[in-house]
Amino acid sequence: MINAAYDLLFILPLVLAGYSGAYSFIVPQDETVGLIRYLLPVLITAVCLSYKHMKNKGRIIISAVLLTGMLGFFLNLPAGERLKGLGTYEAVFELALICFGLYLAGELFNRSLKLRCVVSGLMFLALPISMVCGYTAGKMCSSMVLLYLLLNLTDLYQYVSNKEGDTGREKHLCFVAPFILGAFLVIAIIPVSEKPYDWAIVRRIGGLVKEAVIDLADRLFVSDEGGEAFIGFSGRGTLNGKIKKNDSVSLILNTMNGNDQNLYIAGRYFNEFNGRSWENGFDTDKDESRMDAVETVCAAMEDTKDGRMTDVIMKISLDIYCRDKRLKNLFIPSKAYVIREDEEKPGRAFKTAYYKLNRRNDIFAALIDRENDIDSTSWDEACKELGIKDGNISYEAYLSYRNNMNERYGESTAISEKMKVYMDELFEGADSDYEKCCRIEESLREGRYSNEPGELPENINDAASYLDWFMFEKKEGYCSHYATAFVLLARSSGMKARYVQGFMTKLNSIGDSEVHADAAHAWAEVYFEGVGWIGFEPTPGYGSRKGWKTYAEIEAEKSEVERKYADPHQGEGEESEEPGIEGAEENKKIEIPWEKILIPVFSGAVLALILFIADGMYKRKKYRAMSEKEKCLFLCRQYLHYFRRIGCTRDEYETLGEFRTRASEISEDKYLAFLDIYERLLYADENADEGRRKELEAMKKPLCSYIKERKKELKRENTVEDNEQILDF
Amino acid sequence: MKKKRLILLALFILALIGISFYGGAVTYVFLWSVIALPIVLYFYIFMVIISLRIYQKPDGRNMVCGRPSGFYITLQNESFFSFSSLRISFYSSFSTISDIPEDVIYELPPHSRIQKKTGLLCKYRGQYDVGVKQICVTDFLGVFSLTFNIKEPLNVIVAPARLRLFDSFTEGEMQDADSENRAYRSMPDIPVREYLPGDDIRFANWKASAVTGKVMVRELTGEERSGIAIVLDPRRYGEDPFEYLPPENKVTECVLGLALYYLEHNIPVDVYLQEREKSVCKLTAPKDYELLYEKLTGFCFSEERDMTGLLTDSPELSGYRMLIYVLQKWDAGTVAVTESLNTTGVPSRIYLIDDKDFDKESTAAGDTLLIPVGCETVIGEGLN
Repeated sequence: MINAAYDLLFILPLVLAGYSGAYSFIVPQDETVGLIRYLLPVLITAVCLSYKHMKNKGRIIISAVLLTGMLGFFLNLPAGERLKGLGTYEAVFELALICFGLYLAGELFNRSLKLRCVVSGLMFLALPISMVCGYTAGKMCSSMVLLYLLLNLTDLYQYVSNKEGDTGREKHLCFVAPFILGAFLVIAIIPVSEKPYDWAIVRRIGGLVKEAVIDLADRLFVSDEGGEAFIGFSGRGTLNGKIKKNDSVSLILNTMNGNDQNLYIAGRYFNEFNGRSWENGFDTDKDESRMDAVETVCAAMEDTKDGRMTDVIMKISLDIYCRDKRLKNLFIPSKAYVIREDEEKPGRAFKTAYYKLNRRNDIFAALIDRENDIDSTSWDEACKELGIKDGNISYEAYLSYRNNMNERYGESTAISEKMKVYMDELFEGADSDYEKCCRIEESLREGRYSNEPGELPENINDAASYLDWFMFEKKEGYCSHYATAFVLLARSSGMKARYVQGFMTKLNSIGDSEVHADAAHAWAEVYFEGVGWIGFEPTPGYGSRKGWKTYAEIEAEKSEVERKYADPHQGEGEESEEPGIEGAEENKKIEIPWEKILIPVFSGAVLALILFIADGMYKRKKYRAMSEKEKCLFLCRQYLHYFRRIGCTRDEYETLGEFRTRASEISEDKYLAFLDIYERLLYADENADEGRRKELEAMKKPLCSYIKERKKELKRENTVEDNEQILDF
Repeated sequence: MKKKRLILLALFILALIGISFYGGAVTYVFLWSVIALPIVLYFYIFMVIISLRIYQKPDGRNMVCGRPSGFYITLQNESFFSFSSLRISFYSSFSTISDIPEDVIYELPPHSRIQKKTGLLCKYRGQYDVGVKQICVTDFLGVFSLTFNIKEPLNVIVAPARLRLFDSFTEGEMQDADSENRAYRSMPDIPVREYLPGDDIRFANWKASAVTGKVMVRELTGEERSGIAIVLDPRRYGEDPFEYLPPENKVTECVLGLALYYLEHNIPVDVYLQEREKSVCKLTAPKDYELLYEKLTGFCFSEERDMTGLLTDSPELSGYRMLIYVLQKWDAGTVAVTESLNTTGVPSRIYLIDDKDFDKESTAAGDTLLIPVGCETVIGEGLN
């Protein structure tokens, strides 16, 4: 039993490993049938091992069963197509042959521990090599190769160890293998990914650690002032002559429901320009931002009464975390209508939702150009749409806000005559303020971008001189210069415009987006009454009007595709008949194919009988060829074996005398007389003659009868005990 | 074992690199296998530890120092799996186990046992742990191992050895014991007084009489005794058994050996002991030796006891023919004892059981002989 288990432990993984590798070659991928496909190698291995380890009786029975099974299978194929039918199972026969070959290979390897270890090592090395070459072994194949290797290592360690006690390798491996097999069972359940591991958890932990370190460094080493002359949000409206790169992380953004290629996050607004810098700044305000959003939604709702609001505006949720502790401002995107502080990081992190504008098409331009009168009804509807209920965002508050915006940012800018001529030429043919703004934007975007435009000349001390210098002489600068020029030019045309400082970045659709200090930016916004603040990007190389397709455009495209690729024959041809339901059901007879059952069973039984007879004849012949002493020893061993049937087995280290003493407790002495003879034959080297042999042969019949009786008695005793237990219970 | 762990660690790193660059069953199964292997091996070791049964039993209840006795050890596996590798360590500081080398590795298949009969030899008298101390369990691949201490070690009380002292050890003993007036001849400071009518003339100190011109007699303090007094130092020095067991063993050996010696020479011996209170074991014949042996087998040394107290409570000590002190420390107290002994005029010996740096030669100070005895010095042969 131990030997059989030992062989099974080594041969089965080898067969399964080879089989699963061969399976993927022989059987097309769409015919995989799950774990049931491993039944074949397991069956073949079990049958072969049973043949090896069982006695003749067992082998005969297995042979008979196999024949019965094969015949039954063959007969169950349709009569005229038996040979052809067999052909469809060609793959099964191939795999069976492969399994048998692998079994034989396993038996060969089992003869030498060293050979087996070498084979397992080679199989292990073959795995990564095959993977690099493009062929990836499946989970079963990989598991079985590793299991085979581990079992061999365990056996090898046992072989080289010098221990005291029962150190048989077979026994040792059989009784420690459950631990190894248990582990591989768990491994079999764990799913595996086809993709390399992305280490998300590690990166997240690393991010947290990095953040903690930066925070600590900021607290210890960085003063609050920092950032001057570096690119970054400073909160001051200074136009520097030179700015340096700065890649520290200022903000971390996260969204789960959208992406924005040009996300503008405002931090501060300015309204007064003294020719050299912006003064009188205003921090972002939550209520103002929400009112701006509501105002835009009012216009969008009005505009898309017959269509969809998402053609014009789109909601995006955004989490903002201000990592740089030097930044004290509230950073929120334009048109943010939800601004909720994150309780875990108060004052630093906010959960927001904002509206992205669809700037790519004429719908938006038409929306702005149209007169958008907002009354209290439309305001309330918009608030309801956005889920805003608090009193700070009432219609009255909006009216007050609107006046405030007009006052704050409505002061017109004086420009030179030269600039007036330039502007007149620029605005020629422009119908609306939005069109004018677009032309200003395009005009400025034709300039050159430079991080080092140099200091402003000494004589620049007002807006007009700045504009003349920048537009006609310098024609280069960075975002602050261009945004300043835009705002001043827009104001000179009577529009309400403001200079905005903040960050401009791309928002990824999934995961965190880091906003570095380099992303600090300045841009311009213009207020369109009834629509809200609309941003413009005058800096060369930055942003462009992004948007998305409207619903109508998408539907039109879909129709076009359907029209182009529709089946030309659809709808033609006869109608297929539907299966009708029969009237009364007829009674069906169940016919049993007796010949298909009886023939295989009968054949199996006949084969078993023939084999039993042949086995008996062979044994008798072998017995006749033995010497008298050999016959006597054979008989004694046989009688000893009979006692096993009644639970009296001689222990490995038990002497015959000790066994006799033990057996005499359950058996009469006359049935144990053969033990004396056995002992004398083994140890006293007594010569056995024919008489002795006949004496032993004469003991057989009474002993067999006794054993049968004793077995019945034991069975009765066990039954009585069970009944008593049941009764007691 | 270290090499195997390093290999496992290298395979783990390789597996991490593998899954970072390649997906698929090969890399992930390899990673899970490398991660699962230490878990399985430690789980196996844990199961062995909770399933292993150890039985140990000495042969007979009485153990005697220096005399080997039978000792049985059984390792039993009652579980369904094999115990791959077990290594036994024994207590070896105060006892030795013969016939079982400590570097042997045992394997136990399921439902099997290993029984060993061996010899246990206790080196010192006293109470301490013997037998199996630790078991080291290694997994079936030899990668990890865990050593655990036996929860309930075998604690034995070992009786002192019965010794007959070597002749070289007892040289000069009888001479000192027999010399009655030796002390008075050499020590001028014997307390004496003028003869009064009725005094026993045998107690006359003729030397003093010659000096003073009057008949002077010795002042008797207490009852005169004709035997030997052996005083045993009852104090335990140190908290570590390594510190106190060897000297205490040697003290009891000395006392027993000396008592036997004198008894065999028909000299009565009084052995002074200090337990909760002073007790004196009076021995007059060799048959009384067993009495002393039993007394000393159960005697407990203690840190709270003191030699000085014992001496203070025993003024009768000056009436003995000879005094023997068996001490463990040479300190100010010991020096004071020596000096006080010199004033009594009674011949005395101090056996100092000490392995520390000390002048190993015997030294005499007046009639007091100081004999150092090492803790491991063999002072006699064992009695049957």
